[in-house]
Amino acid sequence: VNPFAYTRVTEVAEAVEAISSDASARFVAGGTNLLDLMKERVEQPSRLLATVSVVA
Amino acid sequence: MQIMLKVNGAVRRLAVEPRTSLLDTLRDHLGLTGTKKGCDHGQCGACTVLVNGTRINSCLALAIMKDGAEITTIEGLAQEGQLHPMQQAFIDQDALQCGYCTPGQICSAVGLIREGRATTPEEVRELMSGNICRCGAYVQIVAAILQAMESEREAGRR
Repeated sequence: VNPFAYTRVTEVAEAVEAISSDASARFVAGGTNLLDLMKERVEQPSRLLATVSVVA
Repeated sequence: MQIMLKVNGAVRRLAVEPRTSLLDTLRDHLGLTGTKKGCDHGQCGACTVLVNGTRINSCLALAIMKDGAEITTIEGLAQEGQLHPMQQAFIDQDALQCGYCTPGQICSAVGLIREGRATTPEEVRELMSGNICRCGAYVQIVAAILQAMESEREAGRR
């Protein structure tokens, strides 16, 4: 798995801003699909944006 | 990144890289090698642990995603020198051969009972389908889980 930065986002606007400003960032919720793809190097995100605490 | 995990009742503070899986954190950082690494891809269930009471594949969770969570591993199930009823049931029913999948099977089974959805052998089989046993001890594993469910009912803890 490539090294990556990790940020918890808490609001929708913040999440949209974060994903818009970094083309290789990815949202992560549970991670069971994304993390597996990262182990296979199918996905190599620069940053994971954790959405579990986003309030709609 | 600095995180805090409550592992088997003890508060553990540690620094992990964002990419460190919960499984590697437990095994390599905390020395809890009871949790096994089978496929490391979420397909075998050997790495199953309980996070806030819910069973998950610890190989597909990042430790930082579980900051502040309560983790129970196979090492944390026995209380005061007494095996957990599920551990005892696995022994009684001879529910293992090599034992590599057993910590995951037992944690998964404890999570299963907590979910309260399985009542029949068929339901137990279906809801335990994420835990593979290469030795093929499934018949005994199902028997063990049913035994533990029965003993919990008798103890009136449900």
